[in-house]
Amino acid sequence: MRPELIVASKEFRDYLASKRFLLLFGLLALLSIIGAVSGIAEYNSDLETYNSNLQQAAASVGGMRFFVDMPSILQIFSSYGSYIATFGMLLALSMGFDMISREKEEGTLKILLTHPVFRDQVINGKIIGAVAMMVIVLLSTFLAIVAIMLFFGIVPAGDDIVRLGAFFGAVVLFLTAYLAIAVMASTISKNSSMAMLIAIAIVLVGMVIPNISETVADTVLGPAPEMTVISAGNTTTVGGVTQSQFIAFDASNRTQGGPPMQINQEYTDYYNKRNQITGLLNILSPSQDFTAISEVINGRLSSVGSIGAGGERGMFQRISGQTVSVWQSLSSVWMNFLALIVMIVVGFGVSYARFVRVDVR
Amino acid sequence: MNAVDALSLDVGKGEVFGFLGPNGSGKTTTIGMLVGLIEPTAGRCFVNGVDVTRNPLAAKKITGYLPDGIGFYPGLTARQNLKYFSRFYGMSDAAAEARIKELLEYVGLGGVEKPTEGYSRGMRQRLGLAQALLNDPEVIFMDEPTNGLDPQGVITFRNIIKDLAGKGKTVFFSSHVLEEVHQVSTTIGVISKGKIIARGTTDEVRRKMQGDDLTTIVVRVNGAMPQLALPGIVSAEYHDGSAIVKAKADIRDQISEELFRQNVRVRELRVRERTLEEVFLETVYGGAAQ
Repeated sequence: MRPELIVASKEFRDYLASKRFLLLFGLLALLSIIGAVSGIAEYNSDLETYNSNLQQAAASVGGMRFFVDMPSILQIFSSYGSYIATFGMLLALSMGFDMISREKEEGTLKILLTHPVFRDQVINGKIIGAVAMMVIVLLSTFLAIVAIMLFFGIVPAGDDIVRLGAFFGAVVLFLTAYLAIAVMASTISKNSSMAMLIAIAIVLVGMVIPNISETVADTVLGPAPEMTVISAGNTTTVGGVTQSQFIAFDASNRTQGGPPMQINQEYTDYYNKRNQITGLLNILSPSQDFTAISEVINGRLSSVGSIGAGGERGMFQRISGQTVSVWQSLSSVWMNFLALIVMIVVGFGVSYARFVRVDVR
Repeated sequence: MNAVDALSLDVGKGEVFGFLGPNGSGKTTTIGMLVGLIEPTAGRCFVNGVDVTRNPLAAKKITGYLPDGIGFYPGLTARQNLKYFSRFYGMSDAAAEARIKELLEYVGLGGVEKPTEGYSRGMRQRLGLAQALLNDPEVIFMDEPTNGLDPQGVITFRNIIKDLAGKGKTVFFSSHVLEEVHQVSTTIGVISKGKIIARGTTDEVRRKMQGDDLTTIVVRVNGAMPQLALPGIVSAEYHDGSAIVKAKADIRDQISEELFRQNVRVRELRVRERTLEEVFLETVYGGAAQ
């Protein structure tokens, strides 16, 4: 057997014997099942409402167009996504923060490295073992939810299956990014306590990045101009930036023969720039990347929504009744995917570079 | 600052080499380089002709290492720990199991099935030795192997080292305790501040570290000690009824004849050799421990 696989299988077995890992895995699995059951109940309720609306529309004279979409089975995974963003993140950190530092503390590293194995094989094996275990954990929880869905008679269609696959890929990338961060902290630290502190510090920085990006954008661009709505020759000034969330819906009126509306260019330019700045900074946060990807994939959106001055998310680019392909959704968040991949490469890359040179004595 | 500086050392096949030096003198760094844990910034290390830096795997296959402060995977038993390490040598399961059983019996841990987290220091050291012997190495490196062991453990370890030497293994072990090195080594090397200051058999090292070839002769007589005027005497200290003479050679016969000629009765006439410990303490610690 290749040395990497010997190390990987040992790492794999260690996780199965770790009470900490089993506890977090158990918790994640339990929450996933609870989330799936409640998600299914909500989906069935929404489906009932949708069918009821359809019947009413068919019965009404002359018909009437409803802008209520058919509920998506992807909403069943919304709770799962939020649990992944919290408990999953915790699981990934716990799997990596003492991967190397524990071996240094326990004195096993200097024993291991005197046997016929290269250092890069050791770190590669450890990473392979951890990632394999994480994928199995995620796959088991994911498939458990799918099994529950099938049990309740909910069968995903072709588009849903592709979106679920993309969502699963995002989940794996997201947690692998946090695993890479934790492994990096473990490799550069002298002990596990310091590794944990470094990992937590990186996570906290990631969590406050959205706030920082807002502040940076406001500082760079200055105060927002007033929004002016020009409708059929009439100009109306609307106070308050949060009005922006209605723009998409108002704009849809055009397709319904409503009065043509226009917003002053200065206002739209300001928020376009603001969104560019915040979006660019937010990709540094794995959690923000995952949130953006999840919202776009599961919400069948064509782009990530902008964030209003009050922090509320709005303007998700899909008009009621419009069909957005998986490719459209994914292409709108390619930067977020790329950011996660870069974080993984950097995290594991730093770990690798540091580990092969670490002074073991 | 270099932990080891221009160190040049060779140990012959089948030797039990004691590497002696105070704490922080560079013993662990030297062993670390020899077992492939530390890459030397300059120079090369060879084990049985294999360059440790350029061909580390080949070197590791013929060496065993027992580090100071050894640790094991706490949740695994001794057998499981050794089984994990045995996989890197491509041993078959059956061969590994047989070798592990044999080694655990050899170090007195046969039948101990509890996880290593409950092991005492002595048990850990013995398991460490079993781990170092897993691949039946030609050369065994041990870093302070008896450090922290009780007297019984120390004796057990000394016997094991002698037994390994009897099997033709080359043993390279370090210690800061001279008695330890003196007891089991065939040759010794003394390191201080990263440099080898003496190398050879115990007598060779003592003489080299002593710094001169003079013989010290203790003379004790009845009554007053007369002044001696013999060729070969370099210096002498005279006391009431005794003298300590430093000479270029052992001139006890001439001293005896001279005292007989002067009608002085000799009570004691002997050569006093400084012990290795005295020389070691004086040279390495500057005599502070005396």
